[in-house]
Amino acid sequence: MAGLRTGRVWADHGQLVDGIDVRLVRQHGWGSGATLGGRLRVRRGERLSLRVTVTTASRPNFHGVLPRLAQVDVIRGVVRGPARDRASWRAPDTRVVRTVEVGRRTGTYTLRIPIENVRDSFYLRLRGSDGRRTGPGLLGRSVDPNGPQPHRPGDGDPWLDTWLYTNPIFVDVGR
Amino acid sequence: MSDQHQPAGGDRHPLPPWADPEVPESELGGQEISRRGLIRRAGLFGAGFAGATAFGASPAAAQPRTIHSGEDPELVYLVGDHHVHSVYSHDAKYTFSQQAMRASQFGLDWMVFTEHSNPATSGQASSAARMSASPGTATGS
Repeated sequence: MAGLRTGRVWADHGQLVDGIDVRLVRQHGWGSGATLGGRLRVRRGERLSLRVTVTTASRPNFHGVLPRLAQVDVIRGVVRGPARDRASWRAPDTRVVRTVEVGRRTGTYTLRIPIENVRDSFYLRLRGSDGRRTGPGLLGRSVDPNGPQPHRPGDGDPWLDTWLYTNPIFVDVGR
Repeated sequence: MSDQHQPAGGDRHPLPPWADPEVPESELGGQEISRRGLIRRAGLFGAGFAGATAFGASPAAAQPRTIHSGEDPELVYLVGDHHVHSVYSHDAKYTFSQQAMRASQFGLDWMVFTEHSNPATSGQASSAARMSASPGTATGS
């Protein structure tokens, strides 16, 4: 319960991976870093590094296929406080800022992704997919080039279209 | 989201057997051994893992509040399903026991029953649950 309450949560659809651990650290810093649901306070202009440790799927899922993680998308969004229009359902400065191709890798490995341009407070979260069914997302290619694609009603198999989503890590930028 | 909720004093959260260093491997099933291997490879099992306070396993006093400092503890994720319906809902047909059996089979550490609790179906649900408690009795559609 403490884990849920602090937001240390990632969701997996279809047993895409066995495990994922995400840490945001200062690039030249020390310590274990902030993880999902956590918050890192940094100075403006500081260089950060996202450490993503993936353990790929070791078991066939319910459909009998062994899911393979192909892409890890880094999603970044500016945090500006409460929205003026809560009905807009838009986070104007949120988009996929990087996609890491990992389809050839198996076992446990760690990605080190530099996070730069630290000016305004923001959040980071990850999305992973098997890469089999991706395309421009709801808000277009510039926001999300590899997003999930809708299936026709009754024509989708969730075990063949596998994704994972992590909760965000927040970055508070001081002056 | 940034609030750290500490468990009530003395409220120790039990670890699942696969994550508990005191449970020997000989007592684990194949999937549990696989999951133990996962945290062992990550360097979390044993002494290091004993410090995994993600679940409030240590008394609050022994664990500094680390959530704001970017110094989160080492963690092991517990697999769960936070939205499960049973015979006590009008749109599902399996009993608690059947759900628990499947959860165990597919490697869940926890699940949450989120029933609709419709008065119209609760009477039938009770009898279905009683029937499935007898070995060999099939329930459902």
